[in-house]
Amino acid sequence: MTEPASPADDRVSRTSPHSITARRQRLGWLLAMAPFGVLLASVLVVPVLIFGSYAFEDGNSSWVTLWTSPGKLNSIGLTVEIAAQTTAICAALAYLYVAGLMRAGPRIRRLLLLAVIVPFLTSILVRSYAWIIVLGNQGPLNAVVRWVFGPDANLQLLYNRSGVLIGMVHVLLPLFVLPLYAVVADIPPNLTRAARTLGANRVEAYLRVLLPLSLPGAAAGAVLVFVSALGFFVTPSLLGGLQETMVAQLIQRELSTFVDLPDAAVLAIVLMGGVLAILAAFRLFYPIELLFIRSQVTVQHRQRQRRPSGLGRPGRRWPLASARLALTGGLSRLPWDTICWGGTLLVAAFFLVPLIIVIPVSFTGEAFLHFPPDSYSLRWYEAVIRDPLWQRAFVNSLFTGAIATLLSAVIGLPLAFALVRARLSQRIRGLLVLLVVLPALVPLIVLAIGVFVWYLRIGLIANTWSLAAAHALLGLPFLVLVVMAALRDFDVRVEKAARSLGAGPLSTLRLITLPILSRAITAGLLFAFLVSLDELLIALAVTDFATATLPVRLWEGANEEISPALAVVSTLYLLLALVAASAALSGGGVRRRSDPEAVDA
Amino acid sequence: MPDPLLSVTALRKQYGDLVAVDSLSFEVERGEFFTLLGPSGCGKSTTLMSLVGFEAIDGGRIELDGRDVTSVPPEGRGMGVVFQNYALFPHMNVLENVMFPLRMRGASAERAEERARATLELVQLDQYSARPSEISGGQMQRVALARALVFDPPILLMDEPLAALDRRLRQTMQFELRRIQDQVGTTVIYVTHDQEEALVLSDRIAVMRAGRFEQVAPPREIYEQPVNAFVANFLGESNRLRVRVVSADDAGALVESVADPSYRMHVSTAPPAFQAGTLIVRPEHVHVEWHSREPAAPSVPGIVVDRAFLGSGTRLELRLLEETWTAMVPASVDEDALPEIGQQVNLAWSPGDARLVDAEP
Repeated sequence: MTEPASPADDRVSRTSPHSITARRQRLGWLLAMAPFGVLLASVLVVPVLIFGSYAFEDGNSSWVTLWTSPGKLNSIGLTVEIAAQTTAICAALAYLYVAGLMRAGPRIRRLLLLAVIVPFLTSILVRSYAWIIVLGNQGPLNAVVRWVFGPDANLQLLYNRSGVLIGMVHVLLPLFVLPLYAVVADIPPNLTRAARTLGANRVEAYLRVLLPLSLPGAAAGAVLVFVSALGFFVTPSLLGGLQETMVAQLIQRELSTFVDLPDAAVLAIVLMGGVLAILAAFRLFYPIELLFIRSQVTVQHRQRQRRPSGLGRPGRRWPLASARLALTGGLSRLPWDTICWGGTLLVAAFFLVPLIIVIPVSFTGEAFLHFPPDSYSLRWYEAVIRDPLWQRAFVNSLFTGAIATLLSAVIGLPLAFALVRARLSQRIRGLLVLLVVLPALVPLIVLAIGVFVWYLRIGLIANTWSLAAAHALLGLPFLVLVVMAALRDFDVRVEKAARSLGAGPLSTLRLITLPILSRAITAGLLFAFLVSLDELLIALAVTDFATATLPVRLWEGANEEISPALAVVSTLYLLLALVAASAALSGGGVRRRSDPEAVDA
Repeated sequence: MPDPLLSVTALRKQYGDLVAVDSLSFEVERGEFFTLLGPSGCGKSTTLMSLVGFEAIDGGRIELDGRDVTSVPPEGRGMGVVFQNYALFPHMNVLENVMFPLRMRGASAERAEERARATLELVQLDQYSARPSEISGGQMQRVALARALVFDPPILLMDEPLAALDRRLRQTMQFELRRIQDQVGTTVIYVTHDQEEALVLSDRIAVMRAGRFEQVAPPREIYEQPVNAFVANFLGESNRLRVRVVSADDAGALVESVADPSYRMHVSTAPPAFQAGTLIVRPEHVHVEWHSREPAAPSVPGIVVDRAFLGSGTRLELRLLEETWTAMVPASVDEDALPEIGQQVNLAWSPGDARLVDAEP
């Protein structure tokens, strides 16, 4: 045996015959994965390590500063508190929404899913801006409040905790809904029916059967939401109050106001440590990467086997049990169908209304933001199109996005093939997938500062290409996961048939494999493009006046004066997200195409 | 029927324009094993789910033991149900699954466990602490049965319970079901598309098509006296001949072939109320004659199209009077002596073995 290049390699050689073909194949798969390793190292691992190393630059003084600063400790506590509140609200809304999804027919279900995915693909900046309009003093919500309660009434939901929570829940709810839905949709409907015939009322059937079986999905959603919430920056900055600062904001402030890299690095390590600790803890009892590999099947099978259900526990007095039954029996008389539908529609409205309200605002004929506009015109569209700053930002964004998408395609497609088709043990495959999704889980503020410090050192600041490389890494997880999902549904016999009919491996790839996967690939590329088009923090850190992208301009605009020009740009963003979402819904998998017929019959 | 356990009147269920269950009325007696038999999509599962209370019905009335349960929710009807694919709770072990209905009725843990163990003994299963994912299909079937029986439901409803099992296990379970039903004495409504299963298990079979009952009768009667070609075809194999009624009296009818009126034959039947009919003869009742020159008096000539050795005999496929028939030749006949493909043979049957039904439907 020659030198083993990696543990993965080692495993393969033990299971496959030691032949030249096997070795060549191994080398091929390794080559397919190598570019990703280079990209991961150069825009994530090295930057984050360099940034982190500043925390130890002057002994432990920065650590002492942290432990002795009540303001910073407070901010850490506050961050955990806000993340927990966000997760709790997301959990409640997600269960409501999934209940509605499960009750809906196929067509309504598609629409409801679209209502989740469109905001998911819309820029965080656009969404925050939309909430500033909706919740602001001149916004529609307060217009309604004034109309009902008189001209002096006012609901202050902006620039305080409620604003932060509303904005964060809006951004993160899809991350809870999607895994929960994947698990719940896979629970056989007969189970709750069986519980009913065995004497359980609606509420008991839900609590005893559906709820315990949905927990893996809920746990996954909760971890994703909580971990993402810890690193939030844009939403609390734009919608929050000055007196409540989350850790990510603190890191940015340390850097921009005090220019104190070591202090920022200490906070970054605390944040990263928290995120990684939670992920590692979760991974102990549930391999998180399975979530991304295959939500449905594996989630059910990987459940802990020995969880007591509570039914067999002796010593429970039956008066208590019958009191519980009386309670749930009473509860089950509530009109749950109406409650679920009402709740689902409210959540769908919560998803969509702020986005939709941006559209009329963009057509306002006035100089200032006001809802509803007193007159309509195209003046702000004209203003945006004429403005050289917006023009340049637009060109920069498109260019950066195009390069980033191309780069993630070149690196991501072979990687997706390797991850699905290379002979790897489940363990190693899982770890590799974990590495692929890592860029999506690292707090962006940490990554942004790391990339900034690193690019500064190697002289790549204010360079569209180097920014695109960072964006490519961020877009990669989405592209790879979408293509992997489609590849797994792919019937390999089709390729074998092509080979048996005389097509070589390359012709088979070009004529059979890629065309069949084209919709998934298109969806993945669109995702990657949108990620780049959306990304604010890295762009903010490494661009200058000439290379600034659209999000940078939006951010500056939203921090200065809330001009209707932002609504114009937001509307354009929204349009793009809608296109991408419909592409994603129609192109996600190969099977989907036969779906409508199956459902109609 | 005096004092039926279940009484269904004009049950109706519609999905948009599609009528899934079309004004069904029937009664099920105490201790009876009643089977709904029909092809997939005939409405039998919808009927069952309406009885259980999961389908909001569009009309009709369901009475269980004299009580109107039409608008009672499923948990209040107290019917035991064995679902297709069992619907065992994957997060509970076998014992907990079986204890579930007792706990839902407020039984103490000790009492519930005692009853659950007794019922599991009845179905001969002792893997109490295994999870459903750890046991075989046949064992899952037993758990599902125990779970549906443990709370002494007045009636047990089973929706294709054996469909997921392989053929051999299915046959074992059929006899198991019979044994358990005898022992417990419960009333059963059973849904299946498997005619053999229906014949083995049932006291009465209701053959369904397009939301209606075609015939409701004991297995033997359904097999021997099908009311129409659909029923005849659905239960066992049948040969069909389109005929016209020539004359009829109390002893039977004289009919002639539509394809060739020179062939006339007698059928033992009540005087038919129709002119155009279908004559139905089971393959095992067709006598094949190919040796003698002179055919036995009433017989019809046919051409052998194909033949296949089945072990218990040889099956002939024949062409006669523009129809395709099958007939059996016993295994005792030497292979060399069998009629060749293309050879003409004579087919005969006794008037009592033929059945005359209306050509439509």
